[in-house]
Amino acid sequence: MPVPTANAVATLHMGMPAIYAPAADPEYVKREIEKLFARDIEVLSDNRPERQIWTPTSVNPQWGPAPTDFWADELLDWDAGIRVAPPRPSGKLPVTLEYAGGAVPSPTVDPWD
Amino acid sequence: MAGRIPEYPWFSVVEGDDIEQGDILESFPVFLPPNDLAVEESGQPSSTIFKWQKQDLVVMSQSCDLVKGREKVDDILLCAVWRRSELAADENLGKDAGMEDARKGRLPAFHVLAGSTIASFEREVRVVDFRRVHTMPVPMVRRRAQAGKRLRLLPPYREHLSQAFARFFMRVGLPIDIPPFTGRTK
Repeated sequence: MPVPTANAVATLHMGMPAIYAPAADPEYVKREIEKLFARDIEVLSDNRPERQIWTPTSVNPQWGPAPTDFWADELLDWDAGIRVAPPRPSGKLPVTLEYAGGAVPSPTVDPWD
Repeated sequence: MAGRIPEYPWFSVVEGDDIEQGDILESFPVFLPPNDLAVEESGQPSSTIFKWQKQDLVVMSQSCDLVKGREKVDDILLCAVWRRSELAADENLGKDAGMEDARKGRLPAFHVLAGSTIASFEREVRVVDFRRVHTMPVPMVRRRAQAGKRLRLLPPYREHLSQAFARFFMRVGLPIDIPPFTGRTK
């Protein structure tokens, strides 16, 4: 019958040892984590004692808001510019333009130098 | 115990005519030809009036192109540098929000330089303007550089400036962009 079967399944699950989680010995957990991360531990540049900062158990997770929808390119204002340049000391200079002929390229000795 | 973070100063003070990328030339004369300048190839000299003004500039040419005696260029590429106080009336950079955008690189036409606290070379925060570029003959810049000491932007800030200029210069605007995928349109 369906009802007793369902009850039996529920009872079975309730009694599974895997669900039972007694409080672990903190020292044991710490030692195990230290062994696990022995090769990956970085001593942080922190003022706290090392034992307080070198295991993940001492790091409080910082949950931030979910990433928002944005496009990096839309954050950039490619058109921004200084419309009117700030005034600087200036003057006028009479010049005489002399035609020096067509420009010639500089000789290339070593193009990779 | 972690070691102290090494100091990375933004500027040093240099003198002499060895020019490097990141050298800041203050009150350097730049010459502005008239808009209606007409040049004839007749061989006859012609006279006109150029406007000149004093401009703070930063060297953008690569240092390796400016090695004395082995220059790879005839002219030095320079960009205008404005003091922050000069930009008080600007619609973008005249506000803290605009300066913050520039500092974060959101205004690709600008690059913010830190202030200097070096004795006798105290300077406020300045902004490099990539839209205003000039070229000057190498000998002219060397002669001018000999006149006194100057600030030199140091690595990695110098390369940061150079990279920002490259990013601005290599920008590509597409005439027809792909429509955004934000809607259900196909």
